[in-house]
Amino acid sequence: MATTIERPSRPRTWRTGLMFSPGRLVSRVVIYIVVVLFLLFMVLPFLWMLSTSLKQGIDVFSVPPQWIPSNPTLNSFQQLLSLVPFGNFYVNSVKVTASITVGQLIFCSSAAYAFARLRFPGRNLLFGAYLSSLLVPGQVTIIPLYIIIKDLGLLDNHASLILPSLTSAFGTFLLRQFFLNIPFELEEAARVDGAGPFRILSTIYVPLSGAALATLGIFTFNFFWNEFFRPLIFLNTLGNMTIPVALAFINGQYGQNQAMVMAGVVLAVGPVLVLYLFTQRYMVQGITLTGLKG
Amino acid sequence: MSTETAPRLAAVAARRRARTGALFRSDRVAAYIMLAPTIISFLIFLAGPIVAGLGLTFFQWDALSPAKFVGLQNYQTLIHDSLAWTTLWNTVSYVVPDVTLKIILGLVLATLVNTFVIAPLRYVVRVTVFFPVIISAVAAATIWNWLMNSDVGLINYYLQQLTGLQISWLNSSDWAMRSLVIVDVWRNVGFYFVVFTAGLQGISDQYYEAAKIDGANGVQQFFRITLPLLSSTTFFLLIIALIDGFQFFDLSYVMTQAGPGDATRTLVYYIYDQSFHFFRFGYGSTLAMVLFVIIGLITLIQVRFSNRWVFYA
Repeated sequence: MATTIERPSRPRTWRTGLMFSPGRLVSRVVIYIVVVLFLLFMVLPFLWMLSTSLKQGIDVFSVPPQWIPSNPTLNSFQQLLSLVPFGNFYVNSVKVTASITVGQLIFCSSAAYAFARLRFPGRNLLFGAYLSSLLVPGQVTIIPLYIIIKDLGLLDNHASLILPSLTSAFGTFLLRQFFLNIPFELEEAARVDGAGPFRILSTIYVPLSGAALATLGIFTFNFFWNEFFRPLIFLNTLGNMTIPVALAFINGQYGQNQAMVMAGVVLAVGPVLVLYLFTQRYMVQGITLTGLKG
Repeated sequence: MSTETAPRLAAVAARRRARTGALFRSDRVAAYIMLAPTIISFLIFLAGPIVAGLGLTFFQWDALSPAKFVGLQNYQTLIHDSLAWTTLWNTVSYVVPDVTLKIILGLVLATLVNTFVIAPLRYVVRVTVFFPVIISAVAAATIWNWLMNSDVGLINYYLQQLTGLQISWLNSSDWAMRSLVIVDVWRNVGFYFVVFTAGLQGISDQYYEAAKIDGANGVQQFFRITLPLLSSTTFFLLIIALIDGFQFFDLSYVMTQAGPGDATRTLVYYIYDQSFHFFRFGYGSTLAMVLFVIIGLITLIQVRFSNRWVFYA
């Protein structure tokens, strides 16, 4: 199957008849309206979130609802920051997510190379077994994991989230696919020059895998940044919480003050939006390439 | 390759043939070193816990007193536990509309946009629709929690203005699960849109041209060409959607706390409750095993039936 990502911009409807007939125009307008409505459906909740966060206290309950607050204020943000250590939440999330992402990039590349290019007894069997672990839902392992973490004394510690996630079957699978597509001649030439596997991995495969590593990095970062179930179970103290758990806490504890709660969401989502605008192209490309391979 | 390296490579290859297995001896050692973190992590955090989880199902344990071996009693309790069956039913009544909507909406949107919307706007649509996918479920839940508030939420205000109706989105046992489905679809449809778009763009124009020559209209082209050629993409998305659906937890925790009553208590929520609120580790593990078996069976069935309707171009 052709795997083009961007297509030329000519409309494809010419193949079904006249381009400018009245029927065509009406249906085209209707479709555009539908699409615009859908876009609004996507965007309006965020606008309302922003609008609410800029209100103060009881103003959020004003009827009819004000989309643009009559007295916009950053008060709710200040209130929130005085009640919870949001800065800590950022630091925690960055610490946990970055550690996991870096770890996965390193360990998945080396495992992928071993599975792709090195020969050793039981290689295919081991890879198959490893891959089948993808079918196991997280809830099956969470109880024994909890016990292990508890016995290691790592409850309420970020290591409880980082250590079990340093490797990934999914990441290894993706990178192995990518590595298999790198021409073997490059490695052969290096071997002839006396390079060992570590050298080959670091000087040939990794530099050539920039796109795949970036994609894996972005997706891993996004996944663990948003993770909720494990941090909910393993982190207890407010000061140690990552952003999703903190948000849930804020909503539960301060639910009466929705302006403040929305301020929390803005703080959580804002940086993600900024990062998104820079990286969304790579995310979409990454999905496109993975999705097509089925 | 230069003519110098060719004889060297031949010698190397000859040595390779002479050995069984690795090209160089050091390959095997290097492989073990490179795989060590993965294998260790796999054993400690994955394989071990899976086996331990299975073993726990035969015990009753509350993490304080010593574990008590009870054989198959947990499974017997499970069969007679009406709440467990309720949560299973709840999970199914979530998964079915959730998966259906995500796939159909994603497909319809992708088709409409890909066929009728011009390129610069397509980009805008993609960026907009995909954004909710990358925010956390908790953030989405918090936003919609406020929107869906029965008394002062925005949705009910406009609903009242337009139709005079009010819907108790999160507080009625009828609508609670539907509301969660709406939020989840809102958040994730962008992903399905992007994957379907990629699939659509991989379909060669020649098929459509040939069909047009034979006199097929748009609808016929969609059902006879587009859909079949998208079958592998749809298959992939169906598997992902089902696996994700059965593990649904975050939205329910934030928005409804499994309520009202037990209306939005899914299987995972029940596992969470039993394990970390009531500290019934044995029973929780049993429930988790059930979840595992269900997901495994569904995936297996899907794969088995896939050759009836999926084909790869």
